[in-house]
Amino acid sequence: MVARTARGVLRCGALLAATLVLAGCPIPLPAGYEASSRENVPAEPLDWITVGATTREDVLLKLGEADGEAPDGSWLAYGSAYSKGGVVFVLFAGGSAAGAGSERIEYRRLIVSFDDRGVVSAIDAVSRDCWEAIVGMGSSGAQSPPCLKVDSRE
Amino acid sequence: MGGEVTGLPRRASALILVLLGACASTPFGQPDLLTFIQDDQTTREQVFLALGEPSATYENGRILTFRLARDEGGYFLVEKAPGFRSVKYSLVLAFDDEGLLRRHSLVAIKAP
Repeated sequence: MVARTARGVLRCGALLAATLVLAGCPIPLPAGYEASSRENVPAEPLDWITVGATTREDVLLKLGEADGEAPDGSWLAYGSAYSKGGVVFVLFAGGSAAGAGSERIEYRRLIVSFDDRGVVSAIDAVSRDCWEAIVGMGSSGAQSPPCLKVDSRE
Repeated sequence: MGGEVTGLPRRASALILVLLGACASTPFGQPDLLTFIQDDQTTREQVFLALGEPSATYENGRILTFRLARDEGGYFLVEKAPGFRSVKYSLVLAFDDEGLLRRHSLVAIKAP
């Protein structure tokens, strides 16, 4: 019974997605940084940071306020989210609209760890590219969670 | 009479001017918001009095940051919210143990 219901829901979802793709208007999503993202997380290695010499103060003066911080201050996280573009298929009907699509996002995250004296002890730079799904109906919508959290070590 | 401007068009023009004037935005920015900041001179107290609560603090409050944006009028403070929406600059102020500003920088966190 449960399996039959699940199959029905999946079938309806697939049908809705197929209808949107076939009947909807494709709207391209332009490339660019997400509105809430910072833009000063470099892709190349940070040659101005020297483990054992650069301080927390130096890092903050160069990169600004961090996106995240360890509760004990032992690391700072800097991250960015850059959309490489995508497409949303939108279906207008009866004064309302529904849409579904996908967007490719590049996440960058830099974790700078410090020792007890506030001197850099490690640098961990991660970059991840992923496709994210977008669905919306009327005034509500949802986006799949980011494949990399930029404000924490998770 | 030819060329005479009647009362109605004049009133309509005045109304249009008022409506168009309402569209013009007043800049938020202040040209002198950050001019008081001087290394080895500015105190923590002066910073709090001029800029209010910082958006973040580090090393037990020794380092303060403020979120800023800029328009035609100059820099203005941006309220703290998740992420950096509308934030263009991060002002970082590092004080010594006596509360005197030692180093500062205005970091552009978004492309101009």
